[in-house]
Amino acid sequence: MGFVQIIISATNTSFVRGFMYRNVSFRRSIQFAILILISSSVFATDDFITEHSYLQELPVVLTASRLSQPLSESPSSMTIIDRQMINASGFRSVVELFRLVPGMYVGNAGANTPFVSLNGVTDQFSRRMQVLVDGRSVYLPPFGGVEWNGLPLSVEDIERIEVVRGPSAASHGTNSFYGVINILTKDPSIVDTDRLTLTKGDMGITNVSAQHGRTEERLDYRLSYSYRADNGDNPEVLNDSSSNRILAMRSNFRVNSNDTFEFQLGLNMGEAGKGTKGQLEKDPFRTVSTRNDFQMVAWRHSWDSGDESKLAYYRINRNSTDPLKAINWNVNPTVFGADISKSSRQDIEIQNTTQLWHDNRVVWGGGLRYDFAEQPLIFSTIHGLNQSRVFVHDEWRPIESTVLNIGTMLEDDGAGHKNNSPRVSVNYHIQPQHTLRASFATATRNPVMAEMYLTAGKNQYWSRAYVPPKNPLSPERITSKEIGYVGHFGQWSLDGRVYYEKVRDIVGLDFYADLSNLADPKSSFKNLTDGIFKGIEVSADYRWVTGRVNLNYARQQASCHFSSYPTQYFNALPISATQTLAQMLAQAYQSDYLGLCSESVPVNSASILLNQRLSETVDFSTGYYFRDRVRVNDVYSALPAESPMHRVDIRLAKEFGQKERPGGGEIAVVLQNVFQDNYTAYGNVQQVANLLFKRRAYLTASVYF
Amino acid sequence: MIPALVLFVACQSQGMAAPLRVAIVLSESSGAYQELVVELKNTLAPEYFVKVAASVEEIPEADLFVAVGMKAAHVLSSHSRPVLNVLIPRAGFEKLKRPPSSTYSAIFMDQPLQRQLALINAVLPNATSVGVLYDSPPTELDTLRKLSSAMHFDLYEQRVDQQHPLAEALSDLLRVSDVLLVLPDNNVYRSDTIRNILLETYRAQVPMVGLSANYVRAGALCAIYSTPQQIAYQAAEAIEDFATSAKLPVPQYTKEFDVSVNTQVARSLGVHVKDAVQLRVEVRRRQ
Repeated sequence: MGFVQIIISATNTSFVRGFMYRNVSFRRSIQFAILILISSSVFATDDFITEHSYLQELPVVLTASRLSQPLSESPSSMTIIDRQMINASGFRSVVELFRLVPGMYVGNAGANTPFVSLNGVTDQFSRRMQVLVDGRSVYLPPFGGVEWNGLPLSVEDIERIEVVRGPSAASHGTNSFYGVINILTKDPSIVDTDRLTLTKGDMGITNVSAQHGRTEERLDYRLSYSYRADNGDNPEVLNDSSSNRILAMRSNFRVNSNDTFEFQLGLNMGEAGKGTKGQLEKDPFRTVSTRNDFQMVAWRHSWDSGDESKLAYYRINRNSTDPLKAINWNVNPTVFGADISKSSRQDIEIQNTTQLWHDNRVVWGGGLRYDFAEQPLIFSTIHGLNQSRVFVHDEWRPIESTVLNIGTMLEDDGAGHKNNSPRVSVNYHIQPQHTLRASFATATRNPVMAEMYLTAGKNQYWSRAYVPPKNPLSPERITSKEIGYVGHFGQWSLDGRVYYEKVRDIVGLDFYADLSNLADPKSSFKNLTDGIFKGIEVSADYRWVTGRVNLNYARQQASCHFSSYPTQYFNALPISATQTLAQMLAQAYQSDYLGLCSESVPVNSASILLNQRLSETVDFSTGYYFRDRVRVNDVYSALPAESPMHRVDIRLAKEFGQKERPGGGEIAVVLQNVFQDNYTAYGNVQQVANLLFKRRAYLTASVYF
Repeated sequence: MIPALVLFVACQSQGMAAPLRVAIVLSESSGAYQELVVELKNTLAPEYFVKVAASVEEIPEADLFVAVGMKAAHVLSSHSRPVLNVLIPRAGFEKLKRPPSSTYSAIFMDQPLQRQLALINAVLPNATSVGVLYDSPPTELDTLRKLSSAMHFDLYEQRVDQQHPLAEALSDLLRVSDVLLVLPDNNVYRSDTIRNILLETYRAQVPMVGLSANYVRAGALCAIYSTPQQIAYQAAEAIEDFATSAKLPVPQYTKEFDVSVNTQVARSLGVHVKDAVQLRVEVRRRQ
């Protein structure tokens, strides 16, 4: 028995809690060791090497689906925001990270209602991008936007973010229209520590984040709790405070070397301020409470051939209560009521990655989805949509230097629309380090419930101001042509593209849809305009031993025209001695719809993120974020557009102890908008259109247990 | 046919001596051991009297023993009869009590370090730093240090111990290494740790050079190794030498080897690798 103890204790010295497991094969090797030891003492003091080191069976870890396509072979332009960039940026909200994506607009309809968009013609319910968190689509019915603050997700839990710039329905499913944001949280198998992070700063910034993670023989799990609160940017004018409590769990269970189950749960209980100063009748100060939760289970199976299948089910759920929503805001006196909304999405999908032959692999599968929404203030009935989709994406390398990506998605949105969204791209490696890409991609965006089913009955929010669309809405359709380059020059990585995107049948709110009472025109959602978006984007990344710099630049142009002129555009009814109705409307349409379209993208935008290690334990980073003037689509011509932004943030961090090990940690100070650049943010009412993003500082301390 | 002819001549010259009795003793009777036996029996000339012992408990009488695997090697090391050890690593052979002699030899299953570094050179011509991770210092560490410097590699060694648990040791090592070279270590590379190790290398975008085709299948970029068939072929040559000269060749590495490449991993890491056949030719030329 003495030998046995020697071996076990010798092995224990190499145990990392959870990183190495006492499992069956370990016991087997112990037994084997004991056998040898009993027969002779020759190996007693050594961890001897046998043929088993060379013969042992190993699980397939880097399966086809786990391996990401390298950027040089991807069918679309992609920006990757990794953990190092997330840390260096100092950003405390997920949305702000998208300032590191060329051409991406990050806006705030109040500090608690951020939104993002690629390309123009968006409003504050930006709904033309797919947003995935670990493969789960998080944009919600009935408006289709993403409630970023309500996501059961904290920045600390993010491992990396991949942003596809351009349509990608064939790979990422419905709504991958202007682009895709794919957020990947930390895999529980790499979280084997407990961590506490505290943040305190100006504007009432308070964050508490705790994480507990363990990796066991067959089970890995990560639990995180965070509390995030601030008083908003300009609380005396715009009540945009928020506080959120987030609980998230992610777990892997390995049944055997071929089968893994993944479970995820999340909950975000939030309170957000609403209300604008001087808008007592329309938008009084109040607090909206929301609850977002989700449950997800996925089963991954690796086939002996190396192929992989994944079956995933998830459910997301959102409830919110606005206690004092102004109803009939266009009549006096205003009536107030509670706006209670419930929405949910359930989705099941199977996805297979199949290696057809050595130079061809195909990802294929299908899914079903059920979207549900109930919000009496805007819908007279409950709405549910049963959707279905199949997709196939083939990656073929006919010759070594060329990769072809061909794919499509066929979908039925359950509301009478059936779409086909093909994509084809060719990546040609001029040299191993230099790749040219040409791609043609399409995608469709199905009208969301709010656009299709909004009602305006008595005691509803839009009462007497809205009429349902006369003709059923068609899906919006985008076609994108792109020439791109991905390459390396020494330590420089470069990525650039020139694109031309055409969007047909953009759905917008037509304010003059019903003119039966000229003094009181009624709005309606309509397939109103077509848009053309073109631009150039360049990214560069340079690394050295102690640092890194990441540069992005985009130049964009947008223009819009009517797909078919609204009928009232030709109404010859004289409304004054000198003007017909058509003349008056033409002017309004020209200025508010077509004219503003070109302003909906910033002509130039850029970011620079520099990270430099100053000493063994001190880390410095600075970010510069620039954006030209821009006007989000629902900021009307009478209001000022957002002024150009030149913002500089800095972060200084001092580490102590061992990095990310018990006893180790970091103290960091972040200063945002260091030089107090007075840029204005999104504001679709006069009172908030000139609000500034004030300089602020916060201190973060994190410690590992 | 030439060895068989030689054998025939030898038998003639020894005046029709009795056929050589060869006993193949297996440590285990599973996959690789069986493959080796089948190939060895097929390769050996039919004149030999070959007996296979499926376990170390039943060792038959013979003129020459072939010990397959460490367990059999260990049991037979106390024998005084001639023994050829196969399917054992060099480090294992050197730990056996019996010193090598003309009647006690081995064909190692592991690859000479020079061959492994030549593979790194061929697969990753831009790699300048090689990382190795171990729990107990490998016996060949000195050789590795010398070879690395001769081949202009910066060698980074990282020991796993209580102060540097595996996860941390690995991430420290990956920060400075262009490639992770796997050295056999029962406390580091195991079927239950390989998952996290490979995920971490992938996260760090540092390719791994594994020990076997299994490593490559699991997610290592490449590996150089000898198959049971290649070992069997070389063992057959040694046995036939022994039949004529009553002497075993000196302990040696295999002459033949294979290279495996995981092309999907290579692509995903942005590494442009030649195909396995080309790499084998290149390694042969470089070593």
